[in-house]
Amino acid sequence: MQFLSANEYAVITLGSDGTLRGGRFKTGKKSLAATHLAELAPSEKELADRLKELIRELDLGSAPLLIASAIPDGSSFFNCRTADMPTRALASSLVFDAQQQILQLPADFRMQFSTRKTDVPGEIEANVMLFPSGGLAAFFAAFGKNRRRIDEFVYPLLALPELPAGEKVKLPEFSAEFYWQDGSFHPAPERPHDYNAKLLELIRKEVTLGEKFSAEAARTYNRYLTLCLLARFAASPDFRRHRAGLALLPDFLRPRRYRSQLRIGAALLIILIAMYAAIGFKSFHRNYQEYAGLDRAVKQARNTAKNIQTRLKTRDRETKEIARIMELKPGQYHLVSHIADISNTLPPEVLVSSMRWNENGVDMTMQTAMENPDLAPFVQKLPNYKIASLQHRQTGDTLVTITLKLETVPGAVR
Amino acid sequence: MNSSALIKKFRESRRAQAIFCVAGLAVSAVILLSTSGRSLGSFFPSRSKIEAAKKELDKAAAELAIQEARQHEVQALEKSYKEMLGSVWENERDGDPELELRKKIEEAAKKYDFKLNSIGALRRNRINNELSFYEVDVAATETIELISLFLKEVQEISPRMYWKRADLNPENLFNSDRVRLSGTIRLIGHEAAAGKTREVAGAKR
Repeated sequence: MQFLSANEYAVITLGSDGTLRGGRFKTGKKSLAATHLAELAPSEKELADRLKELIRELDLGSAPLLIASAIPDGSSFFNCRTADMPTRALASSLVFDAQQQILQLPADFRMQFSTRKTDVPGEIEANVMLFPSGGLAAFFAAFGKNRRRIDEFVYPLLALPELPAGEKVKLPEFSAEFYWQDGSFHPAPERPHDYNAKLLELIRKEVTLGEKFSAEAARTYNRYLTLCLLARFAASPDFRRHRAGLALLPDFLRPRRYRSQLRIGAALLIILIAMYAAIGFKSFHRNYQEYAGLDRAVKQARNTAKNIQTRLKTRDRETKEIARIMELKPGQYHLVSHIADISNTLPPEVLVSSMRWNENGVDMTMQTAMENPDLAPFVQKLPNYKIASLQHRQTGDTLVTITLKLETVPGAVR
Repeated sequence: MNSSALIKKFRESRRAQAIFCVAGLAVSAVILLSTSGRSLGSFFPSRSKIEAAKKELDKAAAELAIQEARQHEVQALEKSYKEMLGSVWENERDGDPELELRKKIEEAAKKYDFKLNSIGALRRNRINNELSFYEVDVAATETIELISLFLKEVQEISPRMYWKRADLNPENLFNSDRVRLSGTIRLIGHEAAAGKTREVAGAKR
């Protein structure tokens, strides 16, 4: 998520005196516009309940980017100049610098810093804030109770722009007893002083107040100076560059948009996985059904074949006996029609002198006066017989004796 | 803590109970799979396994077709046999063949005034325990027309009668219209085994 692409910001600060301040800002063509501003004085109510009230008053239902700020307990702030290096190396270097700047570093501390280029090439100016790790626990817990996630936590002084030397900065979130000037805190004199002159000038140029605040613009700017500063810092084009150095939000306050994106990503991934799982399951189910059906069919076919085989085997002896009996040739049943067929087939010039029927066929002896008698074409027309042998013998001057042997064809009508 | 105490402590712990349940489930699954005759692979069949199963099915179907064809052959044979048995001589129904068969042939001849020269004695040739061939020799000399009528009449006799052999020769080759018939009539006779009776399917005289 890019802050540059956002057009609405919300800022909530907790002052060291317990005052809660909040504001909504909208980016315009040339400047930021404050659309809502609210302040809640300290009270006996729980911080979480007061925060809830502030959030309701600011109407943070829609999703502006939310920057939170507070003064952590036991925090220390310093600035220094150092060589320009990658963020991780810079963090280590600043920890080393902190040991020299701060009297006693907490055993377990968190650090946040922002940087700015200087006139010297390769050199940067770093603003560093350190605090014991539990220093913001109550503040973060209040957001957690309200189920409100933060996009970034920024220590107020980290958002300071480059100011001329000698500029006195007094932000309402800090103790009224001190002001910031030229890299260190100074006790504030009792008499009123002109603080934030250049800062206010800059803020007035870059942040416009809504109409309802225009009546008391000066007072409003002073009161909500830190909000405007932080909103300006978040809306700046190079805020992205600072983010690595600012990261210290606990996991449960991870930015909601990031969390939403994670959720959307996770949901899409789950849908994708579910979709592929459904496709895979469908394919598996189809394969399983097909295989189960084939398996069933194979078993059924084998069982049926086996049953038939078993049945046939038990009746094998009986079947063989029946087959033997059926192959027996008891004789000629349709004798008279066969005689008629032969009689109709033979030419009238042929005289049958002998006809002997038996189980296999018929033997005939014939005489004829035909010259070169050829009975084959006639006899071949007989449906139930085939010629086994056909012989001619001249038995006289004009007489030819024909010996014909016919075999019953398989499947003939007997 | 000695080993038995450790074991006892482990057995009573949640982890041991969980391990026991999971192991029990796994063993049950294995037993169920093995008794069902299926392998784990059959629950996740690959394409190659499906193709192999298709080939198996083709083989099994071919084998079944062979067995079914054999069965049909046997059934057709049995049907033919039953039909054939419907046309055999049954002593209980048709009487003593020694007497009645001769009677039937003589009645067939009488119808057309066909003179039989001789009717031989009944001969029995065993086919098996229940079936026999009954054979009777006949001889006659008549015109071919009468012989044809006689042959037709014999064909009409029930049970079915066959000609085992039949010789037809002209009495005189050149100046006679009479033909000598000499043949053997044969039929199948059924004698039920002692104590058994048999129904002849569809048999009605």
